Amino acid sequence: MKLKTSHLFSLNLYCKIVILTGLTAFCGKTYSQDQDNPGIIESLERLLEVHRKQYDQNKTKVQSILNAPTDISDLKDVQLDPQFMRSLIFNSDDKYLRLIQKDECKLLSALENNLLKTTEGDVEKVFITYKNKENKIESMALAKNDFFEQIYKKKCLNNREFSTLFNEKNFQKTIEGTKFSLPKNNNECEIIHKEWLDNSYTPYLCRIQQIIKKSKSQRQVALYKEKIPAMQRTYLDNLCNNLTSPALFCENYLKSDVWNKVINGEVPRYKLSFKCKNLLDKSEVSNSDLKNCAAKLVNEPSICETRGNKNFPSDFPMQNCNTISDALNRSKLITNYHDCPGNVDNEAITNIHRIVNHFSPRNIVSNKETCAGEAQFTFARLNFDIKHEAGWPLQICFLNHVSEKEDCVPYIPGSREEEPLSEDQVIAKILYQQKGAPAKTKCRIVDSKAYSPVRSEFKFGCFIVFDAENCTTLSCNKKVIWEDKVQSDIKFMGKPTFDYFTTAFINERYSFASMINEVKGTQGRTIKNLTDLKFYLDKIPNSIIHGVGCVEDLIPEEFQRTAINQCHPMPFIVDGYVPKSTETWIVFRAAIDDLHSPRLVLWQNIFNAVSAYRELHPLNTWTLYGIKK
Amino acid sequence: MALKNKVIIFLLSIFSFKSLEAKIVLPELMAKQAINNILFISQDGKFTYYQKRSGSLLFSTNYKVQEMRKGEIGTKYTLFATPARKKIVVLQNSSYHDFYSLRAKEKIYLVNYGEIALKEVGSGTSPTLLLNDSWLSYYDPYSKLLNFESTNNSALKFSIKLNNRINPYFTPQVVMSDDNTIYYTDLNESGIVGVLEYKRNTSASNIIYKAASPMEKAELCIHNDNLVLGIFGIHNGNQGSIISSSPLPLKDFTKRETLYKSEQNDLGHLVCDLDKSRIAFIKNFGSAATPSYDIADLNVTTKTIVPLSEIKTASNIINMDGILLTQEKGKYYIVKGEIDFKNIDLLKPKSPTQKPTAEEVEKELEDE
Repeated sequence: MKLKTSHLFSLNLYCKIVILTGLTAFCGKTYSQDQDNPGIIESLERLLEVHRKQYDQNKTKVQSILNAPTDISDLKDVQLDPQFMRSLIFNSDDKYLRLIQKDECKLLSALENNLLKTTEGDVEKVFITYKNKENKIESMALAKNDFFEQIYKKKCLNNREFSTLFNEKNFQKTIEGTKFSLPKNNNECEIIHKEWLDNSYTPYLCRIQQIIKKSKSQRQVALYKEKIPAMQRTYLDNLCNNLTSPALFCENYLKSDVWNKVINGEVPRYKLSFKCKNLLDKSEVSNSDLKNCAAKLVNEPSICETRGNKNFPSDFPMQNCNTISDALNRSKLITNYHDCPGNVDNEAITNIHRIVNHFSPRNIVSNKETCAGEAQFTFARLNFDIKHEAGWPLQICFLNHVSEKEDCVPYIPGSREEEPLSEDQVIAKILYQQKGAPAKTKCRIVDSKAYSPVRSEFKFGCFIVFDAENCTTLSCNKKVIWEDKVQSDIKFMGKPTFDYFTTAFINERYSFASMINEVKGTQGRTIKNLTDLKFYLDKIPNSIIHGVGCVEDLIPEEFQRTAINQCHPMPFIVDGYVPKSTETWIVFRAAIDDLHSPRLVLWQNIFNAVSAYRELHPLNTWTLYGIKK
Repeated sequence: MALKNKVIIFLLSIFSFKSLEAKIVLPELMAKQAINNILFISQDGKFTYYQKRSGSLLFSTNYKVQEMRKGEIGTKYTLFATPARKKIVVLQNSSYHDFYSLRAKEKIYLVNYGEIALKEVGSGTSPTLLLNDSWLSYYDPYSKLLNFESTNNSALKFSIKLNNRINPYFTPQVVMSDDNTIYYTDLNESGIVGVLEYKRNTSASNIIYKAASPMEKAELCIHNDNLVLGIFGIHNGNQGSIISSSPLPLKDFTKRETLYKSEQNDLGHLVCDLDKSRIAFIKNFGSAATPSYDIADLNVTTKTIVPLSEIKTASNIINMDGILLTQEKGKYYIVKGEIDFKNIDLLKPKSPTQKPTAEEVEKELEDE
């Protein structure tokens, strides 16, 4: 990397020399590497030194002119001072020099937008030449703002309007109205790049990009970040950093992997961020983390097979990063959270959690302590919203000291301040009513690995302790500890049984397929064949397809049928398809799969699986449904 | 000209006949009752275990139908048997349609082959009859215990604790070569599958094979006193497939003989107990990009492969009492073996000479 940079550096300097020698007959000497003339870099250093001296001399000379005019409106042949120009060329970034090569107005707008530098850094005064009444060339210096105020009256009249379009008041509308074309192939991309070089807006857009990247004004940075969508910001980054190189600009857009599309802002961030949080073992990931992570996924695609679901147990191994990328490129499911199928016994609940949060996304806390509870909460709320409390079976049972009998109350696993039925609040209430705990008692749900009774923080109060790694609703050694004592009479009971698709007409309203329509306003219809599946996903923007089929047919490489009519029903979601070779591969997530690692399966697997389950279904139902809102 | 045409017609007819001849058409499994209720049909067709959607498990012969167990509505039963024909394992799941769980522990019963008296054994998943039906193993995915119980003396039992902590849905493969020796699969901390040998007399497990990567699965079976190991790559990778065997009792498993090797990832699903000279499995006859899965017979002597199906989408292979079946689009097809349809029960006592009418058969189906 170092070598590459230094190579580019010397190359850029060399280019500048070419530009400079083209523009000015600065020095008659050639740049040969003989004994008298050392290497090109050393010559450049000397050259810069000479230039600096000349610039300073010129500056002193110009500023010492006492009778210089302050108004240039009547002056003839106003040009940028050659010494000043030379300084701009020497000290500005090549990418902006490329932008100004052909067009004087672009040069002025680049200068106005602080993209060009002199040997002193940011331009505060502009040095110009003009012809006096005797037609002699004279020099003068003007404050930058004064210069632009006056020069735009003489030339490049449009620049003044462009400045208005990009001021703080108008930039959002201007950017909204600007087309940020995404190329589909190399030719198209080179044309797009050339169009940006010719576009008068480019210096203004690159100024915004520079402010976002480098400005110390937090207010301005925040304003731009807030008002400019991520995709456009990334696009500007890519454009302004690669003005000199259409190849580098295009490389980012012609990569077909989903990871780079996330970096470019073309697809939602969650398609990469949860995988990277897990891979990098970070609770939050920055943009630069995502870039590094994306590069890793591209260069080492096997990493996704075994990593990315730590603390969020699911079927193992997962898919190769390339397969996941192909699938996520076509995937529609909103997955702004991480769930843990391995900690949820009833696989239908995981599927329901995913479907409900696609149509009605909520803020979900994703960590190993809460991930199972969040899925249970989604399903519990469906039942409570439809006033079907009986449909929610999980209960905490305890010995009622008044009646001296066991009492049970419903609870939803996890901790939620706004939910009175959440596990921590229900336990606190039982302790208050039955054990004399203070009314304001709060219970903390703690992983057994973190719980240590010898530590002072665990000495007093209420703790619900469980082994996060080996805990499912049905199999969890959960203990309620209050004031350092295990409350052995408090037990967690219940098994969440319910119809996913109706199995008896009498309970039709309370099957999941009916409940979601009633509570979330969705609509469903059966999907019978591959053409129908493609049509449904193509034509309805937020649509997905869900179903139940025998896992032995859905994932035969892992699950084997060894007896007639053997079938483990597996809920699943289909949310896209990928035409590849001669096959159509379906973007598929079984309820046991990691949410962020979809598979590609063939239609015949889905068809066989649904057909086989239909044979065993009490109502012979075809359990493959499109669902939309 | 006419002669030329005749030659062409003759050649075409030969080719078309040849192509017709080459196409494998699998006969559909038919019975006088709904196939989706059938749990086991004996090869001689003399008895059938089946279930009703009301939750009953039934046993029928030509002359008699007996209810073996009455469960709740929607209860699902699954039956497993081996060529030893001594025992049948019955799995009972009473929450089949309202609690979808791969790990749900189901009630496990044993019944003597062709009889009706059920004996409850325990609860778990993936029951397997071992060593000529003298032992039964089943797995508890929550405690990760692989339990063993003698089918003749329930006091004889032991268990093996699995190491797997990485895949909640992993189920071990188990074979038993003698009263003292068990071979089973497990996953290590990295998710790599291994084959372990467990000795009852020492209660110790030793690893005898470790896969190269987590992207390989292992299948075990016993074929003619040989331990057969199938290693199959998964998820469209480039691991390929290998089937190898080693004589029992094992001396040096590293020196096992390769019976079959392919660059493609086959589905596997080894069936070793159908034929003394062949092993059936599901092979990918296509490629990773355009897979074509069919059932194949591997001759262990000549190491040649013969395709048994041409459906391209085979996903399962079942040995039901000596009949090789596969399920496709909800229907069952006979891949190999002959079932004596003449004897398949009529569910109700009838005079041996009286054949049922079409209406009677239809009514029986409706009753189901």
